[in-house]
Formats: sequence, structure tokens, C-alpha cells
Amino acid sequence: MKRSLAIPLTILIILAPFVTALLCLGIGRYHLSPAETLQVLFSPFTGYMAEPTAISVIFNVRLPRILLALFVGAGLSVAGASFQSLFGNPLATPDTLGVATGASFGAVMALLHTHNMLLVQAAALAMGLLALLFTCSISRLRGKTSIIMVVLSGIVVSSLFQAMVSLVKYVADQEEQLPTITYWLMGSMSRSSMSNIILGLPIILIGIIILILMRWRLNILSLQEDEAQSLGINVKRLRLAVMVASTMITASCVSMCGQVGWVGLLIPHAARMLYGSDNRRIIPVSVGLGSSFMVVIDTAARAATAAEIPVSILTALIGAPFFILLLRKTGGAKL
Amino acid sequence: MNFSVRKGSFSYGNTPILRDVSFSVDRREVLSVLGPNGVGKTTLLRCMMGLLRWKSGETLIDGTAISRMTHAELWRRIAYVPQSKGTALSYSAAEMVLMGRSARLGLFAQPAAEDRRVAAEAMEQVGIRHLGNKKCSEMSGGELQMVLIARALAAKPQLLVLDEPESNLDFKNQLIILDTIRRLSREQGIAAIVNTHYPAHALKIADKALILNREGQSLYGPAAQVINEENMGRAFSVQVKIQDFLYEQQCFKSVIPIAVIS
Repeated sequence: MKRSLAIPLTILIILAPFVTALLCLGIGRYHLSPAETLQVLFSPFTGYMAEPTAISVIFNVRLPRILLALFVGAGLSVAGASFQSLFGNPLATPDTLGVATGASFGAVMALLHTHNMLLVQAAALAMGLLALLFTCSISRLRGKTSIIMVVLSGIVVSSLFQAMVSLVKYVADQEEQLPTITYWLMGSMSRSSMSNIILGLPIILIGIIILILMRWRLNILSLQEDEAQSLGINVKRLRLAVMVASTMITASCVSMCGQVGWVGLLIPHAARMLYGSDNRRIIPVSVGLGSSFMVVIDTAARAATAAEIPVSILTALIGAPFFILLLRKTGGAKL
Repeated sequence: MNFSVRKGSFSYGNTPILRDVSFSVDRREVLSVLGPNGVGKTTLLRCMMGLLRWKSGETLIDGTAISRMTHAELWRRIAYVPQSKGTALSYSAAEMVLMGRSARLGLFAQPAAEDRRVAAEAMEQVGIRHLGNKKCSEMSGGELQMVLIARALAAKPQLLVLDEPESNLDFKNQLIILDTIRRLSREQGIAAIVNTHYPAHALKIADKALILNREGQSLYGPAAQVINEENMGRAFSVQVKIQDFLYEQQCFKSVIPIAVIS
């Protein structure tokens, strides 16, 4: 990147989540201009008398949903970037490692029996970690892991858990449970209400904060094991911490809005193509890019047509061509 | 600072690799570990630094067993320069060297201005200041090796451990690496342990030598004494001539392989 572009671009990325969130709060069948949105948003503090409909639309419908999108986008991107460093592998993401599918299985299992979000979260986390553990141990041969083995193991573990999700769908009640599960699996932010997200967002936030704090250590973790160890870090403990933090984020995202694909691969790659390999920059940039990307996609999902489009369809539809463009332009980003 | 190994033994499963290896290095000294390919030179390095566990025996720093030190304590005193092959990471040289500060920073800490200064100083010392922004994946073998040495120096270690630092390099780069190791040990009083399979290189820079044989046995002593035609012949299964060559009042030793002993 040219030096003259670096500073404006960085400012843009820092501002992007706030700007997109503000714009997207106003978009929808009940339209509000950015100025009106701001007035309504701050009315509890300023005492501005907004229309009750506007208040209801902003605070009960759109704000929770946009908050969720911001956190899910940032979370999945940071988790993706961290997994890539952890495995020294540009293809490692929550999806390719089987973590997302594992978490889906956990969540679906729990949804079958309960609507208690805390239990759904816990089940998703447990199964996500289990999937990651499988992928790690399958891909490890004589103390070494290769990129290709990680990807292959991820595919295997992913399809294993996918099969179990299908099994749950098969036994689910066709009238009530099956449509919910199917729709939820495609990824949707539509079920978000303050009470639904209040449990999940802090978990994502904690995960992101942990990874942001350890962002420089992620550089060292991406080296070979002996090398990392010889730089004075406890590799086993640090790996575990990164795995738990990333899986926590993924599981929490999955249990709130289903499997949203692509973000964990797309955003970290975009960040690397713009800023190089240093995780001190990649992690914060992933937060900015990921959150704003997700808000835009989710707004398109709810406002582009009269009916709601599942969000993972859109991430792929918009993400794939954009990603191809980036790949062709820069020749791909290495770790 | 004294670094010593006392009767270290190691085996993979039932195959013994190292048997009762003992040696000791003080500051300002260079120890060369010599031996044919696959004899366990890297294994020795990994064992003595605690990256692998000795089956018996121990490693001591100033009389304290390293198994009783914490990670950070140990790696502030020792720095390891692994073989550079397979480092396809696209970190810049500056970023890579900065990682050397890791053992001196807390888990959540970010490197500060002081760390960047020490890293820049380390790059200066090995003459690669100009490579700062170059990506490791785009470097030549010699440049990358220098970056890894600078990274090790950034930790301000008392002992530098290098695994075949000059293999895969051309003439000139070999000479640069060897001179750098020698200079660092003389000028800064750093002790160094260097793996190599070139006896001539060991003769050039080492004060002491440790020769590893196929049977897991080892020979240890002053380099000029231990590296002789007989010992080299036995260790490498090659008939060897060692020749002195005088050039401008400096004695260069060359080790000439004559024939394979079958």
C-alpha cells in the first residue's frame, strides 16, 4: 500500500462501523434520514420528543439487530484472523476448521429441547471446542501439522457434524421445530431482541478483547513451534487461550444467528491484502472491516426485498465476487 | 555465565540417539557441534534447551538446572536461531526481529519504543538495517539467516544457539555468518553453540568442539585438538586430510575429504 493512502484508509476503517450503523439504522420500510436517526437515538438523553413509531422501530427492532450484526461481523473476522495465525494457515477459519458446524450442532441439539439461550450458548461452545479438538488431533502427525492436513481434517470434522445436524433435523418435529432450525441455520439476525442478544454480545466482546490484547503474540504463534517456544512464550498455554477465545466468539455468534459463512475468511484476507501480516494491525482492522461489512450485508438482507433473505446467502453472493477481485488484484495474501 | 550439559542422554523410543553427552561453554566461547547428517545434532540442541526432555542427565546455567527455571527466565538468557528453511511468512524484517523481544514482555503487552530501538540496534549489529521493510518471504537465504540472528540478538541473550546457520548459503554469505558469530562472541562476550557439518567452519570459529558419532557417542575438547584427521575420519566415515594454509601471516585450515571409508 502507498504510504500516502495509509492514514486516510485507517481513519476510514475506524469510522466505518459507526457510519454504517448510523446509516443502516435509518434504512428500511420506515425510512429515517441520518439526522433524524441521531435525534431519535439520543432522545433519551436530550429529551427530544420523537414519534413513538420511530422510537419503537429504532430501539426495539433495528438497534438490537444492528448491534448483533456489528458484534457478529467483528467477532467472526477476529476469530478467523486468529485461527489463521494459530495454524499458520491462510485457509483456517471457523468454517473450515469445523468449529462453526460443531457449534451449530450443539446449538441445534439444545434448541430441540430448550429455548433457554444460556444452555444453547453453552452447548454451542462445548461442541465447537470438541470439533476444534478433533480437527487439531486428526491433523497432527508426529508432532507436526501441515496446511493441507488441517484443511482436510476440517472438512472431515465439518461433514461429520453436518451429518449430525441433519440427523437432528430428521428427528425434529416437522410442524414447529424443523422450519425454525432450518431457517436459523441459514443465518439470520431477525430473531434479535435486546433480551436475546444481552447474553451473547458480552461473550463475543470478551473474546474480541482477549484477542486484541494478545494480537502481537499471535505473530509469534504463527511461527514454527520450536521457534515460538524459544521466543519465551508458553506455546501450549497461549494456543489454548487463543482457541478458547476464538471458539467462544464463534459459538456465541452461531447460537444467536446461525451459521454466517465467509466472513471469517473474507475479512482477514482483505485486511492482510491492505496491511500486510502483522497482527498488531490485522486484528483491529478486522474488527472495523468485519463489523461494517456485516451491518451492510444484514441491512441488505432485510431491506432489499419485501421478504427477508438469509444472510449467509448474501455474504457469499456479495463476498465471493469481491474476494475474487481482491485475489486477482493482489495475488492473494500470505500469512 | 556458564552453560553446561551433564551426562545428557536421549532416545526416540528404543533407538538411542545421544549417550552421556557432556560439555560446557563460558562467555566469549564458541562451541561447535560437528557430525554427519542425521546423527542428532538438532536433537542435541533441542534437548539442551529443554525443547525436548533429556531421558537422563541435565542442562545447567550457572549451576542451576534449566528444568527449574521459568520459560521467560530461560529464554532471556538463551536465544535460538533455528534452521531457516520453510519460513515462508510474509512478516517484514523489522516485525520479525521485534519478535525477539517477546521473552522480555508480558502476555498482553505490546512492544514499545524501547523494544523497537533494541530491535533496530540488533539489525544494525549484523548489518541488515536496510532490510527493515523487506518481507521475509521475499528474502534470499543469507538475508533471512541474518534476520533470524538479529531476532535472537534482540532478546539480549548471554548464549546464542545456532542450528546449521551457514548451510544452504553461498561462499560469501557463509563467511559473513561465520564472521558475525565470531565477532558477537568476542565483542559482546556472548557464548555461542553452533551446529555445523563443515569441519573447516568449526576450525575457523570454534574454541571448543563436540563431535557426535553414529553410535550416539561424543568427543569433546578444544577445537584445534579434537578436530583432527583421525576423529573426522571416524565421525564422517571419510578419509580426511587437514592442511594449514598461510596467507599474510594468518593461518587458514582446510579440511579435504579424500575418499569414503567403506
